[in-house]
Amino acid sequence: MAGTEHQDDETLTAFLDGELSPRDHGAVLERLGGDPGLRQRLEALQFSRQGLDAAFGAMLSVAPRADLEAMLDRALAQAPQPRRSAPIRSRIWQTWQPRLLAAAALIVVACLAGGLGYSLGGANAPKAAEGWHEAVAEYWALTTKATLALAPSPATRTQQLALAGDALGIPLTASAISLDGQSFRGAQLYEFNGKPLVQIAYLDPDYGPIAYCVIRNGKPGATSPTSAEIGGFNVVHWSGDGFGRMVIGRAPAGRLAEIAARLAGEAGQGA
Amino acid sequence: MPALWRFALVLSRSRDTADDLVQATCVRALERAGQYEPGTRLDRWLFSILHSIWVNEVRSRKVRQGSGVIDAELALIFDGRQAIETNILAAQMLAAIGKLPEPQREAVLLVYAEGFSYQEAATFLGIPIGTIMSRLAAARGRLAELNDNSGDGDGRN
Repeated sequence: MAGTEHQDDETLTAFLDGELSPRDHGAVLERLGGDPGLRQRLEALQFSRQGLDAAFGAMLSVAPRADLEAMLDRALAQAPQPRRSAPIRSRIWQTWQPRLLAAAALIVVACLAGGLGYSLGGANAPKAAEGWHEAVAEYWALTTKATLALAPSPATRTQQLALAGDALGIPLTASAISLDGQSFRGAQLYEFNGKPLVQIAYLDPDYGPIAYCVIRNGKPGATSPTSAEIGGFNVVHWSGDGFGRMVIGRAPAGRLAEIAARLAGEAGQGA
Repeated sequence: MPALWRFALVLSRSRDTADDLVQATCVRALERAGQYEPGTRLDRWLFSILHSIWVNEVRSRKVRQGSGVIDAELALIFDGRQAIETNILAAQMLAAIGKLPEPQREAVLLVYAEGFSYQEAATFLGIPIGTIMSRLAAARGRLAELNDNSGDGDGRN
């Protein structure tokens, strides 16, 4: 039964949602190992993500889309306007401040397109999973060969990978992430929508910076490696076991696909 | 826009009220377009307008009118069954969501359906992050009870 008497419920909930700091996440993992009662409580807090996604997807699918669009038209028509008899849209054009206009236009676009951030996928598509690829592409655009000029020492590499592995809750070893012909240039820990995101950088002698990124997003289901072009980069992304993964760079798609296959094989996914 | 409507549906548990809320949100958003800060997330701005209309204007009226508080609980189930007759677990999940208290319903929607982080949800609702955690923990307990009945062991989160 659900109950508020369980002191650990909040911690376990945050643990399941990937909201704990790497240290706290590790601490919970450790406790779970030696505490059957806690494992039982964890089990009691796990619901079917597929069921929940389907339930929320069903709500979207019954949304009265046509009515909602008509509503927006009515709202536009009723928008407060000074006298004048020109058509409503041109009156808005003439009388509203440019900034206001831009915002209004955005609202129209968002409402018609199904909302910013929601138009990327279907009703049941995971939302956050769509966003993080773009976010990575955005900051990866700032990375140059010069950014990655220095290779970390083996000791630093070990420390960085340990930190990153802790955050993700999976072991990351130098051998598991080493790539033929690619020089390791550091593992950094980021956060996307509160989810730990690790980026491992490589420098390819021919094609420059390449990154392997892993996010612990807790999403159910799995996708096999898929090539895409995002933000001017070639990308191969895949997912499984609650993790999203991607390889990104300016190397040819085929080269990235090889790298992705090797890393997916190491991760036990999609190879 | 469908996501905005879904938020309204989860808050109000009534299709008609959800329609009204979205309508009012569009009107309000256009009136206040100047307050929107370019570069911030427009969807979340619209969500916050809708939430504020619900909390400040509509919810209290609904309670005063005593309008179908019990019937409304069933609206979610009905709505869901139309689309997913074959998906028993999802229908049960809808029913379970409908029975959660409103604070838990909105936390579940924001975090599990809309992908808000705890911090984002706390900021959005203007409450401490600890409150989000306790609401989600309570909601998880209720939603997890379905597992025993459904026999579904996959895709757990």
